[in-house]
Amino acid sequence: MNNATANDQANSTDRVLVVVDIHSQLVASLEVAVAMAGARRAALHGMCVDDPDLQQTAGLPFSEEVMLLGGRTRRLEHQQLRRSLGNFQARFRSLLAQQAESHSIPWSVSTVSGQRQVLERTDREASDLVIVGKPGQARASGQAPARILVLANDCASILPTLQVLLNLISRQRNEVLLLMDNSSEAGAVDRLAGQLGNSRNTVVRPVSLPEASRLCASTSSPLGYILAASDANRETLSHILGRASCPVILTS
Amino acid sequence: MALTELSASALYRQCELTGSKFATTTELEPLERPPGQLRAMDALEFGVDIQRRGFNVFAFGAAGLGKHRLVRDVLNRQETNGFTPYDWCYVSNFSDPGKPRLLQLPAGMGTALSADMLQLVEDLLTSLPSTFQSEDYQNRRQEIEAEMAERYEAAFSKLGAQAKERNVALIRTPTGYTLAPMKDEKVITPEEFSKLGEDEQKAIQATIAELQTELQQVVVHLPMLKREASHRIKALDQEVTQLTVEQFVAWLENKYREHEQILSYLAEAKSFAIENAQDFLPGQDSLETEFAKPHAKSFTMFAVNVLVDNAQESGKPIVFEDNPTYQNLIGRVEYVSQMGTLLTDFTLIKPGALHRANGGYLIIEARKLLTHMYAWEGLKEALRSRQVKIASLQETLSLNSTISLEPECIPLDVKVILLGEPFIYYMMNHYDPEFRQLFHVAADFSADMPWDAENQHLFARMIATCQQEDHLQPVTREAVQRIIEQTARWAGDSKKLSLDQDSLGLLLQESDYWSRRNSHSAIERDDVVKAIEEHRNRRGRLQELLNEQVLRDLRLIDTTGSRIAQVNGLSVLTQGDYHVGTPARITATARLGKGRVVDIERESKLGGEIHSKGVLILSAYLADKYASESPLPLSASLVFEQSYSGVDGDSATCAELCVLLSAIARIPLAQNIAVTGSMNQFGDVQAIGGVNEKIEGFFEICAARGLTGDQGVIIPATNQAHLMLKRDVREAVESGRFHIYTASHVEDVMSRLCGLAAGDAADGFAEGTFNRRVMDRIAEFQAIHRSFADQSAGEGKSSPRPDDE
Repeated sequence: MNNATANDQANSTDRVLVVVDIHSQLVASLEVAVAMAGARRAALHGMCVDDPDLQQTAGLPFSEEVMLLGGRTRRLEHQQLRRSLGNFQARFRSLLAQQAESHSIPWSVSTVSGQRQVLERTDREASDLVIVGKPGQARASGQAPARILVLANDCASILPTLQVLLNLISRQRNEVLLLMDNSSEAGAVDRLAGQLGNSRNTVVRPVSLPEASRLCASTSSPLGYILAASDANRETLSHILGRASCPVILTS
Repeated sequence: MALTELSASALYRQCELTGSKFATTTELEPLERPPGQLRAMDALEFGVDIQRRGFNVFAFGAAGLGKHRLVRDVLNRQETNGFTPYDWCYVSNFSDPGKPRLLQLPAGMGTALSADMLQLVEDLLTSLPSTFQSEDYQNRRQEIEAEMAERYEAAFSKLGAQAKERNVALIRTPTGYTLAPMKDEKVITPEEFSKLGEDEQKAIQATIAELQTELQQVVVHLPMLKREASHRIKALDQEVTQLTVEQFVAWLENKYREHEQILSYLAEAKSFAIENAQDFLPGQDSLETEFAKPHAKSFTMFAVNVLVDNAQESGKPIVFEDNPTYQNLIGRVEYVSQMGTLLTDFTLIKPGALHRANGGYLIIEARKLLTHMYAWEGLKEALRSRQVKIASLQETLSLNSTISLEPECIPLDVKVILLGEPFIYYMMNHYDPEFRQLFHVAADFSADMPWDAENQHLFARMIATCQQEDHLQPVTREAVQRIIEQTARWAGDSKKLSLDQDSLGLLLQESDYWSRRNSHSAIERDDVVKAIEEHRNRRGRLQELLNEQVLRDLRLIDTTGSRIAQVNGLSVLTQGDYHVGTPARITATARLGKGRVVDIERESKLGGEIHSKGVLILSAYLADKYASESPLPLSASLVFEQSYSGVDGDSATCAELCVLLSAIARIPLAQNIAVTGSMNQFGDVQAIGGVNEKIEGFFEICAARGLTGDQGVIIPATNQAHLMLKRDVREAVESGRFHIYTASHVEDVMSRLCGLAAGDAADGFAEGTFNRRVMDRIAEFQAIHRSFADQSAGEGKSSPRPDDE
């Protein structure tokens, strides 16, 4: 894809939306969100999702929390929960503002109460790019290649976004793992490689869903980002979203 | 027996070199070993050859005798029978890093093993990262991780499903999970819950409590899952690592297949590498800098510390340790400072002289060994235990208790040869019982050898040896003769030749200098004479000073006339290797008393023990000779006038007796004659030391004032053989301007000094003899003493004590 097309795409983007909840890894999410917003000359909007069920549960007189650390239980205090959420939201806002302003990107933040999974799957309205923050801090080790899992049948639609990601990573070795519907697979790898300039630093190869699932859980050679096109298979996307431990980028 | 006057020919022995026909030393065959040290050589060869415990060698003798060179010659001539010393190496003890392992390897193998281990690390650094990057490894690892993730998810999914069946939702909290009641698939609000009946509320709580217990069990089980994953991944890592490591180690195991020690070490190294394979992988930093990449040389645990490398050596090592401190002998563990902490490991172990000499010989100067703290103790410990234990001195003395290395002890097989002066040997032998157990062999180096025809020829060859080794000009026959005569002077004996190699070498070099300055093609006799004179001049300031004091009457010495109770004794001042002779005035007083002879030198603590012994001897002689049947009714005192730096030795005993007799009998003694000689209780004159310097010291004073023709020196007859006087003295004697007498009995000396005969005791000493006059004087003292006693008795008082001492 040439620069003119990329520019057209950029001009057509209003917002880059970064959606996080209290379990999300903020730095990685914001890093890619700022990069995308900067490349597209779009505004950046941060959406902090608040789980209403959790709030209500904390209001119950008998509610307790089983902590992952040691399995101890403690009272699930409404006030304490609000504090934790408030701190998280403040930190998210601060980080987003800092990164956006350093790149002269207009930004805004909002708090939304609801099921994130629902938000992830619904059609986006104003933004054409959504970054979903995920828990986990898996990073590729020094010598391992950076890995990007691409869920797309038409790679042309995600190419500008993929290029921004590759520029952001800027490692010596990159791997683009292409997960496609079977019918669309033939020649797609070569085409994508060609579109990326046949760079020796970047290898494009197909992956299966089982392998992609494994990579989602891998700590030794984890995925850096997941990039899903709008034509990605919904079930596949849902399956991957449920296992991802890195930021997920949903394009329009 | 009267004094014997010596002719000039008796004052110096000329070297004739009969039987040796050569013009210069170039015609003489050099010696392989210095002459005159047969005893020491035999002892050295025996001590070096015998292979029994405790037969270390102490080679002792005066400085300059060439002990070190002789020792090396003996060692170099030892048959090695193809012996090659071992290499000694320290390697990591992987199971206990504080106790490095020792490897005893054939010569040269240490360095080879070190290089091979470095190569092994480099190979692993290259191969292991590739192994961990391989698709096979990645897939297998991902499978494990995915399985763990699925099980993790499944545990919560199962519980979530169970909860859902019971209308309970499993909700994630910031730090864990919580359970919430549901109705119509929606979480019940607090308001809705409060509207429920009491029974229903309790039922909900009970259900949640039950599910919470199960949730706890799931959460508690999570670490087990993680541990299982960790173990399986570790097992996978070890499996893939093992294949790679074994591949490279197998090559080394084959190379060193005949060396069990190395094979054992390689097995441990292999296990360690497999267990710690992650250390060979680059750092986790995404920036691939050179700093982050591990370097082969930083893997010190696989290094080989070649403590002693004998790759280039053959035969038994011969090591001379010139600075035998404790650490230089035993070795040491060094430390490096890192961020304010001192760190060490086995690569910082450094060898000592004992390590380098292991299997061979170690030569040490005994004096230096004893002056370094604990060095002697450390050496003894090593010889006793037959091993070298490297430990710091602080640790050995329990001065600190910090954790340090405990390297495996090295078996020790070494022959130690100590070099030193005789007094050091005797002192160690006397005071240290362990010394006798460890040093059975004494190599006693002679300071001189008999001057006979055979030896003087050998000496000439030794001169030739020195001349050729030091690339000096050839030495003429006449010069050789003069040199040989000079060595007799050094020996202080006309029948001996000094074996002082240092002095000989210096004389030759100085003679060579003058030879070249005089444009001679060879070192001639005059060059040698010049060298001797110039050397003497350079050292002559003290002699000049002493003479000046006398000539300026700052120190009173008479060389003419006669005086009562005053005589010229002779003394030698020693400064290192320089001896200066000078006359000394000895005076005496005698008075009524109780028979005590006061040695003023001793009373003022300026007299040594030997001098005091001499005074006691003459006191005994006096009493025996003149008061054997009655108390000696006099007291006397003796002193070396104007002597303030201490007096020792008994060479002035004859002079002291003569001056004492002079004081008793009021007989003047000639001041133109100086006397030297020890004496026994019977009056026999005994030999003394430094006879040449003493004669020359008095001669110089007389010559400076102008020889009167009647001046001279009396020496013991037994010292005649020691005379090697300077030319000017000999010439003065030849022309009758100076005289040298020998004496065998002190009465002969007294007779010459006072000009009176001694008399015969059998006839009660005739009138006019000095003994008669002494006896008369003593009788006078006795009469005075009796009169005092009678007077006191008459007055009813106790006898006054005329000499209250």
